[in-house]
Amino acid sequence: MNALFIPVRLENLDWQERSFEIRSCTPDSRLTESLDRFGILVPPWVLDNGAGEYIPVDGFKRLSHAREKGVASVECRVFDSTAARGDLLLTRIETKLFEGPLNSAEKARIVSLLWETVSFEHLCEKHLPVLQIPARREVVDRWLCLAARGDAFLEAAASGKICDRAALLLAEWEDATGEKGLGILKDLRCSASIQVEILEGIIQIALRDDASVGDVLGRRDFNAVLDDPHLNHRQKTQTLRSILTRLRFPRLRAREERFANEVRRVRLPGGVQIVPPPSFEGDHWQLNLHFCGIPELQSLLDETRRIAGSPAMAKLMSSTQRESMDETGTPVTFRK
Amino acid sequence: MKGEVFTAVMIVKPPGKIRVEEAVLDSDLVSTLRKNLPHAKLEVADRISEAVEPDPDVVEVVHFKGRFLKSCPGTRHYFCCGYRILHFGVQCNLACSYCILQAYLNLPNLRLFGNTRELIAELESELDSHTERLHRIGTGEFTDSLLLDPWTEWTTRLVPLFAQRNNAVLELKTKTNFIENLRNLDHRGHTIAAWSLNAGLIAKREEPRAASLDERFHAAARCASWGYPLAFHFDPMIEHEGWRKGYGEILDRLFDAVDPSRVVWISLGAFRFMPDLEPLIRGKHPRSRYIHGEFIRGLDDKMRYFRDIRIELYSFMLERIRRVAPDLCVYLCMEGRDIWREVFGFSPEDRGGLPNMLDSAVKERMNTGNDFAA
Repeated sequence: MNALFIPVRLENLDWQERSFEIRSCTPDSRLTESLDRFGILVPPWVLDNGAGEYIPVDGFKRLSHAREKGVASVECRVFDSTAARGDLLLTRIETKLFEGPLNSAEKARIVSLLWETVSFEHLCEKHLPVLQIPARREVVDRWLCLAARGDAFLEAAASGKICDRAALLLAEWEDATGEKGLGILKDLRCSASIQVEILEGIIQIALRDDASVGDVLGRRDFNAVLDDPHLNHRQKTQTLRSILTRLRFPRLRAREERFANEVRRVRLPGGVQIVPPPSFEGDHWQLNLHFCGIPELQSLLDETRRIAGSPAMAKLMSSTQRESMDETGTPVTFRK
Repeated sequence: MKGEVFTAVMIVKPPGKIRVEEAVLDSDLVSTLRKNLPHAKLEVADRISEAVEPDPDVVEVVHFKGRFLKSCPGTRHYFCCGYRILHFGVQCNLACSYCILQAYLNLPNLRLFGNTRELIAELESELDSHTERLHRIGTGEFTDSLLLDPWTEWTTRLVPLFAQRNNAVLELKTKTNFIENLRNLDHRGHTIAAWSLNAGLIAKREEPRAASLDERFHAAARCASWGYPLAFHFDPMIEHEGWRKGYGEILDRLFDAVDPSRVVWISLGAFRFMPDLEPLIRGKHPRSRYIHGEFIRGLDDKMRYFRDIRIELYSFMLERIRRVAPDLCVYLCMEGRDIWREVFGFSPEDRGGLPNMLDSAVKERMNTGNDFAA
């Protein structure tokens, strides 16, 4: 590809043509400050379209800033009209990949541009490893969905308000539902792992119940939490997670609550804790004793021995009062 | 028979291609396949790669270099039946949505081991070198025991071999009705014909290419009429809307179809899966909603129904079986002491261990293995 560094009059730029653009979707203050102070240090790239105009390829923000400042012309690296657009795009992406860590919006845009330019095999072999994206079709599809989403999505992902995985999950939801999900996560301001936990919980409940994600999001108990003016974002997150867990694992949650009630009823001495197996799976229970000195230890052991032989302890460890579902899916409690 | 009759017909067409490794080209197995599949195209290769494109029309015959006899892949956290697997092939094209074999992405095609002489030699050596032990051996772990039998005639070699051994029984586990080769064999009651069963709705939705339940029951009844002992495996049991009615009906139909005294055992196993299988099932079987059930991570790192659900499934089945067959050996596949105690009121350890319980069932119901102390 032939290219020359020559001044280009900004009035000759085709500002509507943005097919080479890879937006970062992040604030420009740092770049603006630099441009104000030092001017354009690295020449933008443009493509001569052969009809007297130039198509911006790289440096959209620099060129826009120059126009806003009333600059008439900017020295650019000008590719002549014989340059193949696909090759130029790949060259532009290659330089972008070496600029430093890319945010989610940039990665989504690059995947989208490459998808239209190279084969899937080439994408998997050459580009996805550099982008640190798993080379699987369904994963690529998610990034394409994200790229096709509006600015609100890309900005939230680029700024880190929602994590990559959450953005990719949300991007597959229908428009209005996706917007609502995005709004919820932005309000909750929770960690990346909790964002994913919440979204996956919603998806799994919807799939299990043959409902839409929108149906789950539209639940009254959900919205009561989100709209509660007395809860802060941490309390909302915790309450929402609790509701989701109860919906997703109704019988496990009921068993946990029953266990907690039984523990209260047993009245364990302070410093003694009984821990059931995770998810009550298996028969490996734990007894934790916390004490200061031998007299306290002896006292705790005596008290614990007494409790261990009591019917209350047997009841605590038993699952004979099981939480069950009736045929309509409603949890019911029955005694064996 | 009682209950709803499902009319689904088993859809398995004969393989159109036999792809053979050079080293086993002269094997008995290849000769039998060529005799029974005269129109199949024969392809010969030095070595058949593992990572090949899936081809539902092909059966591969390879030279297997590993051990043919394997232990059941149990884990220390749950009680295992102690069954041993005679490994004669891999894969299945019945396409059951829950099947672990769909995770064997590097072995997508039906594959048989052509060095059958070595297989038989290893089997005989094992049986002869441990004559004091009762050997329970099956072939249905990595493939369906009878899926390819119409063309391999594999049972015509195995069943007579076990007939000659007083210390061994063979269990053929299947979801097919491909039993014709069993008809005139001299089995002497040493081969158990076993079927995997499920609730009608699950069989219809999730086992679309297997024999219908009616076909399975009919096949079981025929095998019983030929003198074969029977076994049934409700595994994987899947919780679904109306599961009590569904499983209850199947038990009714089972005991209408076969005399319970002919049944050596019934196993129960709630659906469990490696976490990696979940995205595969979600992707390949998007209508299979059972994968979103109340699963927790088990002690063996497999996903399992929360214990109380398993106990409900098992207790229901046990109670229904006991009504008809109070003495029938019923066991749980890969469950722990606490689940056994809640369902049965005892743990296998109280009865010498699960393998011992099954050995006893063999001795009592098959009159095999009584010549020596277990």
